[in-house]
Amino acid sequence: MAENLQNIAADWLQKYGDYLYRYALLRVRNEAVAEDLVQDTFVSALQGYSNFAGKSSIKTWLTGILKHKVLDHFRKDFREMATEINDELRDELFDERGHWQVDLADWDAPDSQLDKQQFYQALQHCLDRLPKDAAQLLVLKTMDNLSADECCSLFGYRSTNHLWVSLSRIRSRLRQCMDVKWFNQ
Amino acid sequence: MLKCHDVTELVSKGLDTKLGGWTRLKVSLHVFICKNCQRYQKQLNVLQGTFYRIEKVSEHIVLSSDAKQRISKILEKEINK
Repeated sequence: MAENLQNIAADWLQKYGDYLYRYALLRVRNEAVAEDLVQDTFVSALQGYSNFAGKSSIKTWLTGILKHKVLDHFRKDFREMATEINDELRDELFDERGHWQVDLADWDAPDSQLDKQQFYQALQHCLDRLPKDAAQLLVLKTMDNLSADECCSLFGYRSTNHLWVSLSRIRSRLRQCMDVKWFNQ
Repeated sequence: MLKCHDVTELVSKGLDTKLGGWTRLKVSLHVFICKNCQRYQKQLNVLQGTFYRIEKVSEHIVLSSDAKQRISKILEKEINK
């Protein structure tokens, strides 16, 4: 039995380790934390393997466990950040009357350009330049379709209105950075 | 009448939640006549789409062999518990 599990664990690590690591890294944006989350996922999976009903693929099952671990990580790591983001990301694109102060360039972006590794690097660069936790919030909201209530409780927002304003400012800042870094270089 | 600043916030909010019908209409009308807001909306859509492509372009990122070894050892310990 132990030998059998040994083989199963080695197989998981080899087949899904990298995928799970990328999943975690994209969300927590910290290599050591991502590695730990992958490790915890495999440990939990081994402990619960006898209950795995085989209704989904192993990959889906493991990803589901990791998703919970990622959310738990943010729950434990809870801090008041909401006001920080909104203060830090004031909009400078508009005048006092709410009109554009600048003209936006047209992004001519064929899909093939967006699949390039350089594009990915530019995006990572811009995500890294956002205030603490802003990229994590945006990624979780966008990729995992977290509900507004979950986002508020994980990231310390008092109301969904604050959350929408934050997400809008985060996207605006990301857009500005990508405008410089990628589209109009 | 919506201001451009309001429109940019609503365009973002529309990516996260369903806007009310009247608001959607006001945003659409504004975007129709305002070039900057039109571009802004298009650009947020492009950025939103890129998140779904990240997996495709990040395959070069892998667990280091050190991390793999470490995890392997922990799992072995767990199994022999």
